[in-house]
Amino acid sequence: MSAKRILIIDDEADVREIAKVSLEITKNWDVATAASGDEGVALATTYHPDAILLDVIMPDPDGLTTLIKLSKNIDTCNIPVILLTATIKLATQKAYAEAGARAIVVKPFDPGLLGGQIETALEW
Amino acid sequence: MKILLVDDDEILVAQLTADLTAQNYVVDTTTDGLLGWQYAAATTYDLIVLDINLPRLDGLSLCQRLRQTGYSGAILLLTAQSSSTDKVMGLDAGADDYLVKPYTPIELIARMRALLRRPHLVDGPTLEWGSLQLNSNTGQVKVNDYSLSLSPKEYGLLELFLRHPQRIFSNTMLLERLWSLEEAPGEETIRTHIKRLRRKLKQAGADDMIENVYGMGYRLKSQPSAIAVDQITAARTAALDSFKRFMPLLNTRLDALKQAASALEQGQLSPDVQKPALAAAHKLAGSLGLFGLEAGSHLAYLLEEWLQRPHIPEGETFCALVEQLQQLLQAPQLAPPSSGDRTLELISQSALAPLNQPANLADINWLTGLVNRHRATIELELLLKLAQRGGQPVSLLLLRLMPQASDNHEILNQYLLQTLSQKLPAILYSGDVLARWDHSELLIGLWDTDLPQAQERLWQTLRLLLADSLGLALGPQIQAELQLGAAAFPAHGKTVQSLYQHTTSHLEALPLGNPKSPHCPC
Repeated sequence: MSAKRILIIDDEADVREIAKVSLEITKNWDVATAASGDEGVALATTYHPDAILLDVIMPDPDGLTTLIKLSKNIDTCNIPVILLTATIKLATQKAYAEAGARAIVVKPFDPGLLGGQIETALEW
Repeated sequence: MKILLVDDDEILVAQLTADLTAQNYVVDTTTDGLLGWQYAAATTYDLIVLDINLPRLDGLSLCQRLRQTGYSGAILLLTAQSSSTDKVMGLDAGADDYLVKPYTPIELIARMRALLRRPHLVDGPTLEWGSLQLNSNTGQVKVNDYSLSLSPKEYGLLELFLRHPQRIFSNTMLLERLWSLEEAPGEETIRTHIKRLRRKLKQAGADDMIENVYGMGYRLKSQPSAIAVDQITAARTAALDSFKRFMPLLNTRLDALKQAASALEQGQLSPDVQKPALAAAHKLAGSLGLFGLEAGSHLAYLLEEWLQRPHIPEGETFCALVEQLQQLLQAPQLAPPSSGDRTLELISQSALAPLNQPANLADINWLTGLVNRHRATIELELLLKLAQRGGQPVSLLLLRLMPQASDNHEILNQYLLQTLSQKLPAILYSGDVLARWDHSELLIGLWDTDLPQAQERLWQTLRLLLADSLGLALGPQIQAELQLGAAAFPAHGKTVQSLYQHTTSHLEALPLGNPKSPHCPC
């Protein structure tokens, strides 16, 4: 079985790097990162990840706008998206669910367990 | 573990069944010796408990017949006869142990446990697989020191696989071993339980340890190499190691909060200062815990909530929180993150289903991870029932939080409850009950402990714990108060409700961080 490919879209450098290193160490996955929503959407079309970890609160475009862009792009619409966030309100969750998000990983996450949580959420 | 009880004392059988089922055992019962023989021939039991005086086929003959036909599990004989000749006859018939009436149910259960622990049945009370440990004495399952809460069936499945690491279990075998004859569920039920168990194990960080053997059933996988466990540790260590590199970034975020604090002190928090401070608080809340600075994440979360208010109140509390955060970052106590945190939720089309909930979702309070009032009432009632039968004392302690800071009362309350819930299990024993009882209340049931013992055992430790965990975490600027109430069974009541009411009518205040030792409010 070939290694999974994960794309992390987060404007926070520390979260991005720790998530990347954690997935590389614990699961031996290939991980790419993007520091903004637009960079992430562009990268997703060429990198073809098996899953995307998407920060919710980012400068323009924010997580929801990025998610909608991903869901409307024929190259990325089938990639499962997991949200990364410290806070998400119930009302907003509905909007994300409608836009196709599969799960929420609450920050701060445990770097040792992040990979397992992604597997659980996506039933890998 | 599956047990067959053959005894014509129906009241005893009903009591034992309830007690054993509550401890995750699967129990079949009959009052007739011949039926007992048929049960034992039809399915495999880990232990058979036999009364000697049974209708149709007496216990001694049944015991002999079981051994002659190759039954290799444990047999415990119960009898009213106490002469040494009777004991010898029983042991000669193939029984492993012998208990003379009258005995207490607790004594009987202890003997049963001892038999189930014998080497020919198990390797020891603690079964291990990779980072997972199952203690069959306490029923506790841990992965990397994180306690897993499993349903009785999930626990039974896991224990069975761990005890028989090489064996393939078909659905029929699992039904036989883990479900009583009365339950008789379909095979789909087994698939559902296996799926739930796998999910809980994975969430806790254990590798997938149960494999499907095509066309045959399920089996425990080979032990994982130490590599998987090491990888989890390595990922956590890598995060800690990167802390220094990210300090400038973290300090930039702290600076934004300090600017907001100083603007508030001058009575002018403009949007130009407030907005970056809000973003900084949000980012710190999400990142400090990655380095094990969970208290820092909590503080940042409080600041974020505070900055989101439409009408920001005076800034004394805000400045105090920023100062706390600054102190924490100046002398950080880096530690691996605790794996018990809720960090993953699944989004479904219809409902939001939290995935990393231990055990039954309805029984667990999401904020504290403790059992809720409903579940705790059941557990405490069982504790009182056992205490009544065995004559042991039970003490109930009520901890009620009274945060005084009015502008962030709710957040502070949640933080204090979470902190207490994380710390208290360390000073309780197996068999005690700890629950989120009401909005601001935790309730503790102490098994086999009277109030003077409770005072001796807990009060000083509790005082230190509160001073350290809460007083220091909050700092002198934020005031909160804890009220303590206590009640003893049976002196102050014989039901959970009456004991709880006693605790509420005898509350004594303990200001957090107060060095004065609290007295037991008995």
